[in-house]
Amino acid sequence: MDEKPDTEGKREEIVREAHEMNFIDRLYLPALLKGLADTFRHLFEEKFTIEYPEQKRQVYPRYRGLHRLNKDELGRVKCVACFMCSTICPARCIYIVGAEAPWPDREKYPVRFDIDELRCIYCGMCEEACPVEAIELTEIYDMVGASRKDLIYNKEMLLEIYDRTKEKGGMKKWI
Amino acid sequence: MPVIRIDQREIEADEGTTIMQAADKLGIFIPRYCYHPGLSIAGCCRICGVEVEDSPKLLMACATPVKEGMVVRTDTERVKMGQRAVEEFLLLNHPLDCPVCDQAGECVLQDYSFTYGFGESRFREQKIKQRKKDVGRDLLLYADRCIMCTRCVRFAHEVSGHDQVGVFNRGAHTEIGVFPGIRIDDLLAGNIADICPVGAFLSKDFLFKRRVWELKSTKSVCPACSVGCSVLLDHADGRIHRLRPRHNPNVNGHWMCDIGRMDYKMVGSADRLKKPLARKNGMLEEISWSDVIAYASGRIRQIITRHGADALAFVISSDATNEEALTFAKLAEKTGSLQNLRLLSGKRGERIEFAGGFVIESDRSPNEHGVLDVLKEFMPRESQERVTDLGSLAGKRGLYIFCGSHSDRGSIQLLARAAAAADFALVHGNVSSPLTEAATMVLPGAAYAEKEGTYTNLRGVIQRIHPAFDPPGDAGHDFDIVLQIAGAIGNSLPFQTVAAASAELARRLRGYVSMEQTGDTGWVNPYSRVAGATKG
Amino acid sequence: MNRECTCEGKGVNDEFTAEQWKLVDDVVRKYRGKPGALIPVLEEVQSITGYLPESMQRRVAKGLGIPLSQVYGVVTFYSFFTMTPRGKHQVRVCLGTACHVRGAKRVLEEMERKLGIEPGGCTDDRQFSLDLVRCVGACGLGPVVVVDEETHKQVKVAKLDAIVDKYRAESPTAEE
Repeated sequence: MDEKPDTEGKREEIVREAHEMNFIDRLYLPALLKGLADTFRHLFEEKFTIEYPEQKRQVYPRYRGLHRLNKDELGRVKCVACFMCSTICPARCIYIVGAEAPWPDREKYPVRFDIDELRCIYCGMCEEACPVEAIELTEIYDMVGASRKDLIYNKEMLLEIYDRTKEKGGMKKWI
Repeated sequence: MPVIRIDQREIEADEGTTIMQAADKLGIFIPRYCYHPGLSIAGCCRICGVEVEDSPKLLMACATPVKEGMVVRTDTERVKMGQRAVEEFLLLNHPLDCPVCDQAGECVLQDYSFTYGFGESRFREQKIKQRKKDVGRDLLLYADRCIMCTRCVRFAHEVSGHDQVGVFNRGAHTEIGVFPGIRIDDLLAGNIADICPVGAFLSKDFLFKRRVWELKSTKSVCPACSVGCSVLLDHADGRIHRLRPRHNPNVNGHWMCDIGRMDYKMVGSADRLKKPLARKNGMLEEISWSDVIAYASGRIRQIITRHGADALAFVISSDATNEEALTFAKLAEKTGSLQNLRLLSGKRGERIEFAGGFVIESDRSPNEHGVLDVLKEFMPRESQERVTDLGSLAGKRGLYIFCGSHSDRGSIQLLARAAAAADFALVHGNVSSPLTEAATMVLPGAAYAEKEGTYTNLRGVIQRIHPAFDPPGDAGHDFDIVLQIAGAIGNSLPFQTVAAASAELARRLRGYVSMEQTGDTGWVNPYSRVAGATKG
Repeated sequence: MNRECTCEGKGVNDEFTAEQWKLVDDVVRKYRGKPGALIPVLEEVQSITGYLPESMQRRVAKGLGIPLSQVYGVVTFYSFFTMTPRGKHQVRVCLGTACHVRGAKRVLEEMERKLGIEPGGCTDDRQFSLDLVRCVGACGLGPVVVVDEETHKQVKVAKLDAIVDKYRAESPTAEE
């Protein structure tokens, strides 16, 4: 019994610490004015918020956003349909259908490459697993769709993202 | 028998066996590429080198016979150096295209590189590159991936006997190939892709379909002929993607034929029956299961009361499992129509025998032997000789036909005519055929990959099949369908599960065992009508 | 066992005379059933026909009852056997170390240009075939070109015309 912590006593202490409100406190005016003063002070400081979506926040270089499928020098999809990304994907959101490549110098390519961007947890394992640097996560974070189906990105959409983001160069930010 | 020591463990090995076989027995794994238990010994891959006391060099475990008092070490630094050196040599010209190679995941070279290899290459020169070659009906040859184990060459010489594959050129340019204009088109060719330890020979049918680690394997039996090769169904997402032979010394040894290999296509075909159908105003229309069972049993009862049990006939195909045949025969027994029980025989083809003793039987259906065993057990002696006489069913008012996908075309036509003429024809099957077109009602059943039970092969070996996935659409399990029909007629059967039916079968039929007792390699029925000729 | 020999006759062209075919068949008959006969048979056949095209290999395989793949393997293994026709004169350019440092590469290139063929090939008129050798043991004389049995020493690009013309002149059937 003796070793039991005296929780009761502690609680009393806390209650006792609380400020006993006097008359001025009960007017709430000083506190209100103090709060307003704080607010007005911030009006003249450098602004922290941005005008999204007109303005966009600069993300950190290792940000992991929407995927893109890279193209090779000839504009063909770089992916060789090895299924490494879909195998490693913890959310199982990548669906690939491989087929014989129509080009003489390539063996296999994806006829279908779908990523469910809603299921994806943006862990970046896919780009890490990719042996040919075909899949990468871009800095795009604003994806809009009217239905869940709209956010299942297919091969054409993912290649289009590459076209949109290619001027930024490779996304290998940590090398 | 010589006693030898491998890694300080003693074993009494059989006379004439090799160090590798003795080590396998002990559970000590020695790596191997060229060694295959179904082929002769070549000793050319050099990965299985082990240290033997009093021998100056590493000896090849696969090619060295055991000798009394031999002391073998498989884990010394010298052995490991040997393995590392072999791995490095094999990888000199091996392209690192594992991402696009179908063998990746089941590639022996890949596995051994991890286990025994250096992990990096000191080879800075150009690798020899080769285009893939189309060398057969179902085979592609990627010669640059080859490691020259010559399993394919030995297979073509010893097992298929067609000798299409050879070793050509010399030194670094040595390659496996075929003579210009020759193709590997025999019916055992698919095994070459199986035994290739790397991705040099690949199946065109399986090419790029799936990565192997996505596949699940289910033990089954090939239904394409009455040999009943033990197989593995490799499937994913409710579809079979390929079949592989499963070693069974009682039946097929290590191999299977390409007819069986391609037979899986029927399971996922567009012709599969997916919904129960009933004829309405002359057209077959979809109907619910409860309705179709109720209508069908009502019509059967009606025929029995109006015309007697002899107006009713039961036909079962050689695709049915033993357990299904048992329930079907029980149903016929309950309705009193045993004398009208018939077998729908399987397709017939040419009997093909290969140099190595592998046979493709002329009966191209899985279970004629087993179904006949069951039917004869039930049928009255005097009507047994008519068991395959489908012509005698003309004029029967009611037919219940358990149809298969490996049935004889002529018999199906014959039955279709009988069905069209009958008052009521209930056809139960898994693919649409002229017979289902002529039926009054159609019950969609399962294919072999979707059901459980046993098949008895031509030599009386009873083997178990396991379900890999569910039947497509609303299709049901044949065993349950027959049970339901029997129950609706008012003749409940004394068992409710396949396992119980199997136990009943084991009690009733001489030499039969229940499916749990068959094991992975099947049960050889000692009383089988055909002498139990088996081969390894 | 020779089920693959279905293309029998397909490769039999007018390349060889009926007499040559008969001689080949005689050789095959002589060795039939003897183990290890393949190499001597191929040697004799090549001495009759000059080379071993596919049609000839099919004939030998069928005659000896040996798999075609095995015959093909032996023919491609030994550099002695050739599947392309040989010219009347065999030109061998040495590319051994000594010859190489003395400019054998340029000699070879010029020879290729002159004959219009690559190493291993044969001119259309079947006069010359060109081969490479790694060393003929005459390093002191390099660069060396061996034509038939004759060794030409210290060959320079400028000397090639004379060498080729010498042999061409020996064969009056040559067109060019």
